Amino acid sequence: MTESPLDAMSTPTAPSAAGQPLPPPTGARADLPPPRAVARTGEIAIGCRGLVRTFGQTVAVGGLDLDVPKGSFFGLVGPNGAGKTTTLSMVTGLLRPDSGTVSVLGHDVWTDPVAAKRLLGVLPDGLRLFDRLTGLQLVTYSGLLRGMDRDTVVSRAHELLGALGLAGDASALVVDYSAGMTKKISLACALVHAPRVLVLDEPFEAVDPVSASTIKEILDAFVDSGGTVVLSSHVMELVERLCSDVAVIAAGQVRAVGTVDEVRGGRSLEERFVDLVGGRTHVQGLEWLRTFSD
Amino acid sequence: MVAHLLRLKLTLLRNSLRRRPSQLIGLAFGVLYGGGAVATACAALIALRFDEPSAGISGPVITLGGSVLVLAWIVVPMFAYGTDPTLDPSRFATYAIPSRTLALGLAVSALVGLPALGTSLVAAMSIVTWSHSLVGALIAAVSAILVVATCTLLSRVGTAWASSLLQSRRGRDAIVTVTMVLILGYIFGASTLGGLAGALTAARVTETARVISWTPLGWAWSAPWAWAEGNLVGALLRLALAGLLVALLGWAWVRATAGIVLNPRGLATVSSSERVEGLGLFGRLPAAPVWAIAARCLTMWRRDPRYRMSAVALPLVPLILLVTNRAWAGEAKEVALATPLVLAFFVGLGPHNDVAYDDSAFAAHVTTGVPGWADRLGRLVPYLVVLLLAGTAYVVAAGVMTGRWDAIPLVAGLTLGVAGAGMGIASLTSVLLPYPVPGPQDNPFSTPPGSVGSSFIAQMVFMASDIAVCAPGLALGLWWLTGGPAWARWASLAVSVVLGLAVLAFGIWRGGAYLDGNADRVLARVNRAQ
Repeated sequence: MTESPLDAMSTPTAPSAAGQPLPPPTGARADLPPPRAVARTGEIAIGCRGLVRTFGQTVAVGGLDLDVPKGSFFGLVGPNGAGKTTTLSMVTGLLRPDSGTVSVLGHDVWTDPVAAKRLLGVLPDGLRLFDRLTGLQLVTYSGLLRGMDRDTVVSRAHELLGALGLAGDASALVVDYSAGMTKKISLACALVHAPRVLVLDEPFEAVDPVSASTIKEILDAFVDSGGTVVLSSHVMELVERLCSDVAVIAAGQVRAVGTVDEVRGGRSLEERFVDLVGGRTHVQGLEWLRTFSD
Repeated sequence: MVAHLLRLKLTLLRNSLRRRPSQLIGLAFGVLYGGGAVATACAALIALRFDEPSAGISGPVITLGGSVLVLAWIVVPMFAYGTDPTLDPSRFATYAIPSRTLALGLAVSALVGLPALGTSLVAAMSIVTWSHSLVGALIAAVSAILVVATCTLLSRVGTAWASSLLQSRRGRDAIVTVTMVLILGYIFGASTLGGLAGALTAARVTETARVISWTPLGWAWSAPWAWAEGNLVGALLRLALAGLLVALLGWAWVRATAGIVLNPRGLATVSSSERVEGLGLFGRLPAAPVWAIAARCLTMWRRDPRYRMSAVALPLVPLILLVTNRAWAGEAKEVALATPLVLAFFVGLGPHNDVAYDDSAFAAHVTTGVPGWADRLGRLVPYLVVLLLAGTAYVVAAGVMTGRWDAIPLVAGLTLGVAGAGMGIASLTSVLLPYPVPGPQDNPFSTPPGSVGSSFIAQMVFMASDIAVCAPGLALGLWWLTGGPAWARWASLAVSVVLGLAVLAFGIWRGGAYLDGNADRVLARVNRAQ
């Protein structure tokens, strides 16, 4: 745990200082944000092979292969119902795949769960918390469940609550938190044991801009010191600015994967995404919405 | 609007059955179990048709049985199965429905469901009993309608009122007070009944029924009886009173609905701005997963309304037996020796569905990879605390009240054995047979639709295993107490303690092992959002 990425958090380095941006491909738009540069070792942080999961008749994930390079800041994007949450749940041990394997830094999540879960920090989406605990108690609980000693847990919990702007609400019950505060306290729970790989499902949803930039800073520092982050999001601009790698999934399949520059191919990620996923509907009708019914 | 809500209720029921076909099995069980009771009652009511209407037993039997049925509609939802939350008024808060219309629609749709169906059948059958004359049948028909209306409204109003009480500290105190009053009332009633028990004659029963017939529980049921005795004024007066009761309950239900619609979140919020400085129990118990889970459970017992009820009731329930026995104060004072065993039984039953109360928050245990045995053992700690404190008190109390100090080591051993066996089995059922419970934000007196059957199966499995494990020790102990040989006492002690602790260890070990390999499956079963 001593060589963990989080310990380097106190001395974050600006992401732009880590490397020079590549020259844009010919014919590319000039206004694209520069891709994030990361140190690549060729190792795989998360490897998914042939993941399949169905719910009754619905195929949520149908034979998904995905490699997340170690040390990358990996964005998972896709339309609603594409299978992002299902995939991340299978990666984190929350949902058993019908077939296929997932490994975290070489440890299979479903045959060697103890080793794999030790390396993972998880922010699930749409699941409850033990919300009758206070913020401080909840983060402490997560650390203690991981078998950490109390002094470490408590000092890290205070540090995390401070960094995430929750110090003033540490003694309030989580049930009284707003949606954004709940997101932040879940993030603190995911970080407290200093994992090697962070899996975050919609970490920026409902989070205000100030907190979002704090979270970005924390994640930047985490990646800069060798950690791997996988996050899912609907917001293309955010993924474009934050991530080094991106995978576009739709209908339970990977449509495109690679570095941000490779995937967007000189256009904005949003344009490329709409191309890959297709199916934009043009709004027709709905005229009645302009005449109020009262 | 009423038709809309009725259709909504039926659609919700059908979809939930389609979503989880296993519920269908549970529903089938419910139909079999409840259907048997309803069929028996209906057969009895038809048989009573051939009874002498004016001087026979029909009147007293229907009045007493009917009153118990009405009482069950208040008591059962509060303490056992709860009401159906699919049509909780708070869900309609964002629609512009007049609260009077909404209240009527919800009350009518409350009739869709097995308990209401059974009650309606029984009430309708009572018309057959009184069909000696047209007027009698008419009166019986009116009273049947009033009975069904009273029952459904009573359970709705009762649970709405009780759950709003539970939200505040003052309300919780009120519930404790009411519980105590009920216990005292029970003592009074039991001692009276104890006095009557010697002379349990038809005349006595009729006398009791006559008194009950003038209480709200018996108004509607006893109106046809009064007519059969030739007392038309009495019959009409009772019908009028029963109608007044329905009107009163309807008014209370409209009020409650309006209150909930205006303040839908009010039901669920804990006393807001509640702040707890520091770590609480997390700072006091040792730093290890087992103790962290124990600290979390103990904290929830204080802050989660769903646990508060059992936290209050668990140590108090055995008092009923103890005090009843005091009231009887007669031949069978040894019965008081069983008081700690009642506690031990409930301590074992308590955690039998513990994981389901976590809902999807259980994911924290899955992603952190906490060892299964630590999860199992940690959740038992609050129950062990109750067993230690209240159990000791009841063992001593049983000794004081009976004077049978020679039996006390045996009673202590049996208590340990029964509690251990129960907790061991509970450690298995809570991961193998979890059934849906209301979420932490829901009305604690509600039951997720379609869960009655699966909860019934889980509880049956628990009871059957618990009885099988505890029977040998209890039988030997009873044998010694009723004049069996001296060795039976020591055999009883040894058998219960060894079996109880063995089952406890086995439950924690096997339940933990199951959790280690299948935590995701348990999560899928307790996650109500799925």
